[in-house]
Amino acid sequence: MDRLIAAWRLRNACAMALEQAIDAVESAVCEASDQELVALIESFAPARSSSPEYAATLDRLVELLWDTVPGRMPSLHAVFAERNPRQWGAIANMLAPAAGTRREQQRFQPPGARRPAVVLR
Amino acid sequence: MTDRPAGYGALSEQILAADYRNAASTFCGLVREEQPVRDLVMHSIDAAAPFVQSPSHLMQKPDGTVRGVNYDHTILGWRSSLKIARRMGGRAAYLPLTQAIWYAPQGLSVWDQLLCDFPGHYARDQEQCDSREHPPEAGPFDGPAWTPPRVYFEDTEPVTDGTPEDRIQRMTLAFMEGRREESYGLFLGLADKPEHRQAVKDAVLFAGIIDLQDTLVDRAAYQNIGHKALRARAMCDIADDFGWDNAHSLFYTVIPDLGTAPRLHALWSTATNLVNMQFPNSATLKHENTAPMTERQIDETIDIILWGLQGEVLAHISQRLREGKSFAAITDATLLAYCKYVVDVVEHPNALFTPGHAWDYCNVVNSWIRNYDNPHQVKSLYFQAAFVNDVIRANRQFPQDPAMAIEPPGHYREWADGHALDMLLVALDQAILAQDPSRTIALVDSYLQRTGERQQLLSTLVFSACRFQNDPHVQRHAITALEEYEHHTTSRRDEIIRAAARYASRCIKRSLEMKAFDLYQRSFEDA
Repeated sequence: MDRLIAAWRLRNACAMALEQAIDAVESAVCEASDQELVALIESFAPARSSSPEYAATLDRLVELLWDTVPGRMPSLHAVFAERNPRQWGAIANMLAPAAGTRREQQRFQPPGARRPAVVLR
Repeated sequence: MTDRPAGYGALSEQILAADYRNAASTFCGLVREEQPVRDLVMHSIDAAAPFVQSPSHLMQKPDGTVRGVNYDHTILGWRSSLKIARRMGGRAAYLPLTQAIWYAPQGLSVWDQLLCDFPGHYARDQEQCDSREHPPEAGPFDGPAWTPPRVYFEDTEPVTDGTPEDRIQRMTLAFMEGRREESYGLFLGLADKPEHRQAVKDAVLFAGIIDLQDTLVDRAAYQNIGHKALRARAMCDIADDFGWDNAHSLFYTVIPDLGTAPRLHALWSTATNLVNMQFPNSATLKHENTAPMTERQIDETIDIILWGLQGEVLAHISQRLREGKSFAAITDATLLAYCKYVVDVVEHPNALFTPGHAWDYCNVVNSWIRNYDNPHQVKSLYFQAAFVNDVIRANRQFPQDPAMAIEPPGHYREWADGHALDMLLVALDQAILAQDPSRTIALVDSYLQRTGERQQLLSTLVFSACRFQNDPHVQRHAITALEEYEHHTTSRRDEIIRAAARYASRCIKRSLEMKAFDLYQRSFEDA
């Protein structure tokens, strides 16, 4: 029983740490300029990312952007839509209005939960 | 040879001229004249053999960097088509053979195709030579050729000095060190004697299997995605089917390439160290480890291969071996990880291409484990798991394009359930033809739930895969599914069917044209 309780406390502590991490990212995103957000998104490109594991979290970042700064998405989309679609087309599509609509439909906040469900990776 | 119809001579000429439409038509005509398929296939392989070698799989570019050079796929097309044809029987058996001969003339002189010096599907589709600057006499790159194909590796004499054991050791080392003439000569000397053939097949498969990149992440040319193993197995299988005494051109097609650059043995070194440090009984582990995996353990293995780093994957395989899990249990769980990825995770058609190679590589390893008893086989379990994990990691570098999202198959389940069982397989073939993965999986799921019948379902998937031309990968993936389904030991073997269906209906194809299929229909309408 003690082991179960300890495991559950650890889980709760991790949840709290994760919430604080998400709050910190959201706050940093809100304060960032468009130029900084573009640079952040660019860091997920295969040739620039630190590892496939880092690159794979782009989906999660874009979800966070749609949730946090939806009003700035058209300008971010415009930046990537102008680039070579072979390299940047997928990212432009992730920032396009249709992706935002889909994200809105997918958002799920269970009753009693502090915040919408978070996908980790 | 003298009493063969003139069509044989025309077939050789058409193959060497990359005149694939006419070659396929001649081949089908000769089949209709009841010429033995075995003779026609060997004749086609004989014609192509001198012209499928590359000097290297690394080509230097003007700036001093290198690019990769594709591996010969003609022999892979023949192996898949023969295996499928044997299982299908009847008129349908001619479809995979038509695809193989349609492809073969397009796959000669890969090196020169990349330089826009010879026609074929690499020059036409991959390199887009028609729209590039090229010599005035060259082109069009769809064939026929304006120049004969070049020989990059001259046939050689057998080497017979030394004991057979000594020669096998020398051959293996010569493969690893890239001494192509020596390894080929040693092979020819060994292959000549029926009593050495099992050992020499084992050695050739071993050489192909251990030559595998450790990672694809940021590696560009320095990888082979398992082609040496795939080609070694194709040679062994066709020679076994047709007889080793008349298989020289098969050897010439495959063996010299095993020592061609790049030779990639870093993963072999890693697996050897891991095994040496942990398993003093590694040579006998295959017979000592007999435990199956529980459902939960299968889930754990799948999870680690899908989401772990390579070090975690290798450590996990060691853990499973220490737990006494059988080789079959571990390889089957690795295959299920691939299936899970293909069915539930990956969406972009291009992103299925490399994983499909890992799938076929796993099949080569599994058939090696099933049919041979080599003390190094335990290491191949690490290779399989590392390869599947690595192709998934490498794909993870690229953003998931929402434009390529696949609609959940559940949306079509009611539609699928509305088909009578006998019509469902017809609808499945059409959904694959339409490259509609959502309807394809909905139909497969409906079928799997409503009946215990599997052979017709598998036959339909394989037949549908055989519709696609210019691309031996599609048929190869299908025959792997069929073979692994038959040998699978867990309760989840239907996942193999779902993965095969998803791959056939989604993976990037080199062509969606149906001209080879039309030729098959015209040629064998009344067969």
